[in-house]
Amino acid sequence: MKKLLAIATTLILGVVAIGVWTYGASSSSNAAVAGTPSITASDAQQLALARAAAAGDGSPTVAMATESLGQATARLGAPRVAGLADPETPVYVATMHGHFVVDAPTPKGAPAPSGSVMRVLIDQTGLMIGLQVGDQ
Amino acid sequence: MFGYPVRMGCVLLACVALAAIASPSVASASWGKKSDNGEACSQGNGHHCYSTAEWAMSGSEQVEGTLAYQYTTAANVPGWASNDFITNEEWAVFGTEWVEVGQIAGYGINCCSLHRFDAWERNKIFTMYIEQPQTVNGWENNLYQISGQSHDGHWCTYFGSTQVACPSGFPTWNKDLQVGLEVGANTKPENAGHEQTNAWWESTTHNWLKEIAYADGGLCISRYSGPPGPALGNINYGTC
Repeated sequence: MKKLLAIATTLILGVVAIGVWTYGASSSSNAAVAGTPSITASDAQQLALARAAAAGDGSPTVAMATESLGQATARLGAPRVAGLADPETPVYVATMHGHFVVDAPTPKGAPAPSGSVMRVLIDQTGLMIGLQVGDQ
Repeated sequence: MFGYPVRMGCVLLACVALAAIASPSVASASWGKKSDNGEACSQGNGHHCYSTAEWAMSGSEQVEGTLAYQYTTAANVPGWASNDFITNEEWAVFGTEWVEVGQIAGYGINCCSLHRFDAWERNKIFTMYIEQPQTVNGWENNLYQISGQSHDGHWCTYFGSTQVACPSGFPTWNKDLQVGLEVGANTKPENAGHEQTNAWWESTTHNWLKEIAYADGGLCISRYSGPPGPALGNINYGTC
């Protein structure tokens, strides 16, 4: 019982520590958007893998890239003209291969989007701003 | 309720890590059981629940766009860390493909703030963008539009009057518009609001000509009759 309590306490403290660290990082988000990442590519990869795990594939292959928002959204098939950050803003793009079924807004009667390739766009502060899934 | 400090970034890594732990291995989105019909969203695992109005066009009916003002008065998604969400939005549906735009709460961000989003599925590829960390206010009309007025298969999404994306490859005209509330949640969220919609054709906005109202158990729908008066497609939606 004490062992279980110790494990639980360690897990909780770990999550809180990550949260505090991330909060501190995101509190300087204005500077980050100007080009200084608040998170590393490795952090971004962990975020993308967590999304992938939620989509049903716990061990996808993943490739990380840093591109401008304009380039990244063009790669996803429709360049962003407005509504997110400046098109020159760098973002992380995680491309994962596996089998994914994502829980996302769809019209009534449509199946959940799915496919063998999942791309996640993560901004320099660690926020997911884009998601794509399919067999492309 | 709104204006939740999004810069918290949802204490990002912690949230997503928790989401990964808490989320089931397949997409799921309903609270309650099928036997709860009337009390809860009862579509079963893997399905979402809706409170919507739909104009399924027939004959020569067709439109070149849609607009909707979303007026959200309550949004609280307790299961947000597990990617539960609610949306207040509109869809232009083309058979098995679609374009959608509106505002979303939950979805790994936090419980209650509203974020503009747009998404589409074409050729079995689903693409979605969420505006973060920016939020939009509740208790006010937020305009969203989908336009195919170029008549070349591009259906562009708009936040207000600002074009944000123009996915291509769709039919030149649309024959199925839908508006309202979508819920993807394993824990019952709270949502209330109304929307007013119009369709575009001949470069002018028009009231809908027909309407099918739909609401799953645990969700409610009624005619919104505020100014400028009741019209087909204008609805109050919410959890109940």
